Amino acid sequence: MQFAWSYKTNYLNAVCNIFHQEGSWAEVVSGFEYDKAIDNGVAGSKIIFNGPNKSEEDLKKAIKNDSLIHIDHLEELYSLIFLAEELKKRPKVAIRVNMDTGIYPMWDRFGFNYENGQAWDALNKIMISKKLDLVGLHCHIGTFMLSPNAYAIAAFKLTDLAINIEKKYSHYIKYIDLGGGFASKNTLKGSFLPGIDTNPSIDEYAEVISSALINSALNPEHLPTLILESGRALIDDAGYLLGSVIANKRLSAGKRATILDFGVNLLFTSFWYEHKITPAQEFTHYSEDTVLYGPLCMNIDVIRENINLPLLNKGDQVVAHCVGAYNVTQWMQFITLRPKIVLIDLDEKVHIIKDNETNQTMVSLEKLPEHLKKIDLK
Amino acid sequence: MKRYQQLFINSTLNSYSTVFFSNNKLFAVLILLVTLIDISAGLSGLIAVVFTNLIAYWMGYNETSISKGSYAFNSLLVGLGLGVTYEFTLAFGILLLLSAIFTFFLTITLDGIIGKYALPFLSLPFLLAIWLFFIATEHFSSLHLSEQGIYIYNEIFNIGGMALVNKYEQLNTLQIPISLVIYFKSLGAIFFQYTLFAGIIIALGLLIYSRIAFSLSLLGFYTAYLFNIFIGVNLNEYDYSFIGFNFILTAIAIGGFFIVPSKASYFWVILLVPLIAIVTAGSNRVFITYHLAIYSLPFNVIVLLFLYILKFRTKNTLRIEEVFIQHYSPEKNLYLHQNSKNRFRNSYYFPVSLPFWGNWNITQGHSGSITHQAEWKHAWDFEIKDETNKTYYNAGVNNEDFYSFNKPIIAPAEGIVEEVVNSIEDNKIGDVNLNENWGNTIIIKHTALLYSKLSHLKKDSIKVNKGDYVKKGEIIAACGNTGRSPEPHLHFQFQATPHIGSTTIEFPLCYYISSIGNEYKFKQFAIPKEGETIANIEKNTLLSKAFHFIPGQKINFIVRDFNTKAKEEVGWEVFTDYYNNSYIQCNKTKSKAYFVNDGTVFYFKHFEGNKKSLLFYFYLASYKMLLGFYKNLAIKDQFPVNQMNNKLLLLLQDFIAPFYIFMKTDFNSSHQKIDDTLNTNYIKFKSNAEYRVFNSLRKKTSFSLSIKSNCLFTLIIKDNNKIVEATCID
Repeated sequence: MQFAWSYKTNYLNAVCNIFHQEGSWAEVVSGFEYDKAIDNGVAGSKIIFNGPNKSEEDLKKAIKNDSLIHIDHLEELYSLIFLAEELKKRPKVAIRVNMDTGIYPMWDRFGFNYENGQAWDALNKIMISKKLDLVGLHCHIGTFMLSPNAYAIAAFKLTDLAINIEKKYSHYIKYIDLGGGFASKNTLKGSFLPGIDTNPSIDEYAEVISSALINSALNPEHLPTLILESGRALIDDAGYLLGSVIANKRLSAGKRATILDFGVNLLFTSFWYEHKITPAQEFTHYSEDTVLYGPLCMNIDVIRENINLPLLNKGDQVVAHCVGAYNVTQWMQFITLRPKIVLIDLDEKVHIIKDNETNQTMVSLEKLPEHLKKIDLK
Repeated sequence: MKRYQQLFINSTLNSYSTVFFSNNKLFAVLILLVTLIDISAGLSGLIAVVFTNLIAYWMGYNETSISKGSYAFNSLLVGLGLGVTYEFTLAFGILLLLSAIFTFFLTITLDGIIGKYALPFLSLPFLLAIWLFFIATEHFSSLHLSEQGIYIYNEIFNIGGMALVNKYEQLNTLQIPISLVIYFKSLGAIFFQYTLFAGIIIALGLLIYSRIAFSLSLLGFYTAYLFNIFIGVNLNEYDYSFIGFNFILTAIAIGGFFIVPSKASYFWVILLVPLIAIVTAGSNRVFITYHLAIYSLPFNVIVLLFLYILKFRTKNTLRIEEVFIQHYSPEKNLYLHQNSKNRFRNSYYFPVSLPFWGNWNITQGHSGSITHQAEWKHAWDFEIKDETNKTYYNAGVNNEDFYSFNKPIIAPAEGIVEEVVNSIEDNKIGDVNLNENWGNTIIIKHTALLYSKLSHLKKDSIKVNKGDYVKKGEIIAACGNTGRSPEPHLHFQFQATPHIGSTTIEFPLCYYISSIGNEYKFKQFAIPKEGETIANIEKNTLLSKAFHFIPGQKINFIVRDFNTKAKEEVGWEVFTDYYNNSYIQCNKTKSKAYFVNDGTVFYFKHFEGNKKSLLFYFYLASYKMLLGFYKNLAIKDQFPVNQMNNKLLLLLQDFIAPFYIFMKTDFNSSHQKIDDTLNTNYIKFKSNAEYRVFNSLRKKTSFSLSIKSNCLFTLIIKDNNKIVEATCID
């Protein structure tokens, strides 16, 4: 069993290195993330390279470093065969498989489909080419999966491919990568009950996956390693966003509205989740249904449509919970600068792991044509 | 053609040296020359040997046995016996050939009859044949008694002129004790040469062949000598009837050839000698009435008796070890036996592994204080523990909180399922079910009198049925908490009978890794103890592939010497002989390194050939390799004494080897580096061979062995100031 830290979930170097220190490999989906992992000191052979868009340069780098390349489409497979010949090196590859696990929507846009035989076809192309070293099988059945059983189906279908490869080519797959998508304790929009009570625990996922693998017909002498690319399930609950109240107002229908100093620019995930927001100081016993707005002058900037909160005053502080995943990689620098990020370690020591942005950060890459340098605005 | 030539030379020469249990060519040549002192007798012997071997080959007998001389040495003795008695005429020639055929038939027959009892036929065929022929030919008037041996000086003059006559005279008038004269004459008498000269040559040959055999010959002879003085037998009688060699041959046979030389074997030589004296005296009285000599009868009787009775012992209280693989040299028998006894003493155990995946802790071992007692003491209880030594997480109030619960249980070895109980409810934590003590249980029969029992399994988790054949490593159940089990754990034991509740037997586990944190110890055929954390060996694909040598495989190296800058290409090929031994052979030096790969461990069994060859260094460097990688894991072993040596010291060692061994060569290796455990491209080992005399380090050869993804080896050898690098090429 091996974890591979999903960079796209949160690629702050400090966060990545916590997981690398714990033994996690790196799972990256772009050349940018790949370089970041290398810069963090991850050995090339411990980087899993996913995603539909890997440039030829990216692939060359990955081949040279012995990274595990998860092929997404035939075009990539062909260019790998071509590059293998050019570089005189056998790339270590896996294919990404998509499949029907009873989940809607079915993520069939990534990788090769299992049911229609595309996956089996791609595997045969790899084996017959003899240029690529097939080391694994990968799938990623969806995101925020609330049904552990889907993983059992995925595990079954991947082991089925592995067994067929073993039968046909006497070749043993070294790992099965079931991707990520495990739910955190966040509450998805539209859920009736809070996620903390209803979302499956990690144990439940572990139980179905290991049972499926153990009960498969895999050769016990050559059991593949299980790789998981969990990101959110490991980091979401560990992130908090601290903000404060800018103002309160009554809307036309009489509903209370509170404007906070963070919005969808910082809390991108509020598009998906009903984030838990709590006040950070003593509050009144009286509470009221409130809408929480962000500070942007855009209508979409809503943190919570409806939340029962005590009455807050200007300057009161609030905490947004479970924000560790997908925010620092997806947040927007829209009309304002982004705040610093701190890490509190086990000894409760505080470390700044990302500083405040300044105007300079933003304009440093800008270039001004000569004729625009002078403005005469009087 | 070359093959026939080789077969001819080997079969002829070995027929001579085999009389002394040797296959030393130089020794054989010396004996051949000695027999030719009496030219017609010597030729008779040679003709008998060649003729017997031809007949054996023509009739289609085993070529190896022919080339070892096993079929012809009795004919040789008969030929010599007849040759010294009769003059060489046409009639005698025909008689000689007949005697050779007859002796050969007797040889094969006796081999068949007593070979069944794993006993050697020794010189029984010779005895039967020569007695028959002497009785039969007594009245053949066309045979004439030979006058050779009567006019000894004439004969010697014919061979070597006056010079040899002088030498001979000088030798015979040497002032040597009478006992030594009898000793030498007895040696010569084996080949019907009753002169001091012949005896000295043979004694010399014996010394060249084996120091142990030589010292045994003296031990046997002088014990007899003293015994005879003690009981008052006139020694000259032995001198007269030339049967002193019975003591010598018995001493070599029992002291070092059929028995591994040791204090005990020497002791038994001393004990058996008086018996030979009795047999000699007794049988002589009977045979004399038929005008027959007893020749080697006492030797045959005593050796066969002794070897036969040894087989019925139930305990080895005498510390007498029979030689199983005959190396035709008491030294080799001793060194290789000791080495293989230390290295492979357990390999006859049926290989059984641990019945689970990953690291488990032994919470109760053999003779454990809780339940592993009295007749059920040879058992283990296993549980999974975390870093803090806890067996559970959360509150530890439910079975599910325990790490061990529901973990897969695998078949520890292949076998047939004898018994299955699958329906007992899992206990609540803390409860025990004393009515169904063992809980859900599987019993597997692995081989005769070896059953393994796995107990306290989870209800309804058993996947096999009574009568099923299970493969090693197959998942058969899940760990549970049934029977007398207050918390989830696995009970594992071996027993000799197939019942639930059978008493336990002590039986070792084949291979496992015992670990404390990141420190690993490799154990083989051992019984793990309470408190140990152990796991099955996780094999590494690259190592398994690299050391998987298949017959016909060719391996080529480029060898560079760092000092002289010399460059050389060396080629090896892998073979398997018809005894199913696999070996790597060096194309140039024809050196052979015998190896075994049992899937978990690769090791060399034996090396023969050039000790300067790359193959020898490879043998030293990878003497024993675990096919899984565990960082810093140390593996130790010992080379046979005669493998790396100082020749002179070894001669000294040979004399005292049965009593004390002061030379030893250790093998040490450690796992150094691996680039990646999942997709291994590179692994590095360090190893060395340390040669010690009286425990002080005399010489050390160090190796660094690395293996790359395409299974190519790179071996760096540091031997004194010499540094050599050998790299595999495709």
